[in-house]
Amino acid sequence: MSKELENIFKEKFENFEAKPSSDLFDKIQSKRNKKRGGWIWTAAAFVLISSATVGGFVYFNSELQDSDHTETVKVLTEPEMQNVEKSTSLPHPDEISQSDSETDQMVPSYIDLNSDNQKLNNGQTVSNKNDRVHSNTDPSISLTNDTNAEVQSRGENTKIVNQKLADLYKAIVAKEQAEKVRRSKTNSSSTKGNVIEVDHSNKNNIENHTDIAVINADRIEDNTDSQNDLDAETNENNVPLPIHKLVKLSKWSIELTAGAGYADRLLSGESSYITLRNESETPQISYMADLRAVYELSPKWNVQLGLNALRRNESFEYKLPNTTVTKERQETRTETVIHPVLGSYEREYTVTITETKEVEGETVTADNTFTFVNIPLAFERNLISRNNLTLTARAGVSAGIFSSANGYFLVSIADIAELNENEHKTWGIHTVNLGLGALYTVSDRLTLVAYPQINFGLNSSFADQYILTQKHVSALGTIGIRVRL
Amino acid sequence: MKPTKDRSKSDPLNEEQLIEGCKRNDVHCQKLLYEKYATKMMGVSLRYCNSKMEAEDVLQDAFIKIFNKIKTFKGEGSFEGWVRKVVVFTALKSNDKRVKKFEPSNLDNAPEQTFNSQAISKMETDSLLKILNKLPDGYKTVFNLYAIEGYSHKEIGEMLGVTEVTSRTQYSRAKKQLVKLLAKYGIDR
Repeated sequence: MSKELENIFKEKFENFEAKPSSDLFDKIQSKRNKKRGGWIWTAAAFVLISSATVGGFVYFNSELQDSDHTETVKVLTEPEMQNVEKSTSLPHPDEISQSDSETDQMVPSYIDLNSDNQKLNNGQTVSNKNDRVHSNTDPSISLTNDTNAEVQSRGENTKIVNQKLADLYKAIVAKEQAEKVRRSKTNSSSTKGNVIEVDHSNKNNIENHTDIAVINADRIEDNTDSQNDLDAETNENNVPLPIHKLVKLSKWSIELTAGAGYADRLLSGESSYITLRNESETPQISYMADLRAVYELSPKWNVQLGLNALRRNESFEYKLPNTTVTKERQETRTETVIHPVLGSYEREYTVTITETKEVEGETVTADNTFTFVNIPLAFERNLISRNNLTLTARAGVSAGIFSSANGYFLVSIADIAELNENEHKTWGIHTVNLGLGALYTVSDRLTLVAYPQINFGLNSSFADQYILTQKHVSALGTIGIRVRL
Repeated sequence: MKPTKDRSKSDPLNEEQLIEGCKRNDVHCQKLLYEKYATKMMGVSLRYCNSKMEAEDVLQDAFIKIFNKIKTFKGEGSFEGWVRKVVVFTALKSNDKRVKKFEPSNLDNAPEQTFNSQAISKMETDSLLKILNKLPDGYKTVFNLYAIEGYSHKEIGEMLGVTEVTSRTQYSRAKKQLVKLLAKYGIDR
């Protein structure tokens, strides 16, 4: 089949025109105006939803805090105390046996200081890095002068995380013990306060009880030697213990990390073109910085929201194909002609000389850089904790934009074009982030963080008009700090 | 290379000025540019789509891209060529026209049919368009890109994500199918 058919169609359709609807331009303008503000609404919606999610957790967790997350000791008024006494079936202080040997070194074992609701039953110890205070409630062991070393020497896995809180607790316990001794000696109840003491015979009730300890030490008279163990702010005039000064740590933290690794792109489309692109572009070390807020949902889970910037580097090198340059020149020559009549004479003539020359293709090199800013939302779970070291896993998504793209890329085998961030989507690039981290707790507030992570692009970063798709992948190692507020 | 200058006497502004105005987001310049190219690009769009409504959607999306991306036009090559390219790409993307992988076809071994070129030349373009739109989408796309737009089979392969060989095969089948359709409508020897 000759080229006739093609030529006919080309001729007919090359300048073929048709009239679109008269209001099409208005539709174009209204859609453009709507789109321009679109990314702002998407970003605003994302921030709003994230804030509502985190805020909801904060709100609901703060409501539940008093009942299941006992970081503070609550001070009740007398009526509240009476209600607690009734509901727990605990004996009134006045009813307690005065010479009960089992109560001599009694401790308020229903004080639940563990956010996992592990009960501090007699002899049971708790080991958890999230505990603010660990207590050994073995009634046979005095708590007043125990140190970590002494506790550990007994083979118990106990660690006092918050020394101040532990000291205060010990002071409270010592005061109770002193009061017990005093009562047993004087055979009278001189306290006007409502100190709730627990008989071991009521142990079963205590174990089932999960409320916060109630201690009102507004009038405790202390005549014993254990006065030395009292909090420094108390004095011989029975000034109340400063329970309200217990240290409370926030559930919020700020994490700042930075790192490096390899970031690349996965192209899909025509295979020979992709081969060409992969041969001309080589990933180089890329860098990342991350700032995020971390909110502790529970001792094992937290949620994170922040800002992340990735600088992807790659080197571009391509040798353009050789080209052939053709040059024509005219040359005048003369020749001798022998004519039978005219004899010999000289005749001039012109020849065209074509010279071809192969020109070697130029090698083009460049450093390509891409800057990608995104907002990550992630959940982190503590996997294993040993002493100060915790292994965690993190998973999340992020939405981002390309803020810049510089360098060169191959359009075709002999065509190099300049990179332009306009070819990339300016917003709406989504990524999945996965990481396994190691956290080292330096103090209550400071944690060192090391987080290797991988990130996968979920959609193409190229603008819609391009059929070729490009998704980003990266593997990076980051280190930084997490500071509890 | 600077863009070719179209000094149409009916336009108070020449093309270069219109482009600069569009880069500044001047609505008036955008409207003039639209009016200059809309009818021709509608013709391009109609060749890739199956209905006028579909073609208008493609044209609308294409012009949105043109106005949004006009800053990337560096003046290398003709502006009309750039606009046409955007329209073609938009049509291909929106309809997700993928040429199928090589499939056995009863046209491959069919003898070449003859056709009356004079009769075809006298046909109205609208009628030819109707016949063209009767081709399967894959054939129509490759035929449009090769025969009318002038892309090579290698370029078509890159655009559609297929090999050069597939593009050639599809084009060959498209021509045979077209001749069959022309014969069906009485345009033959």
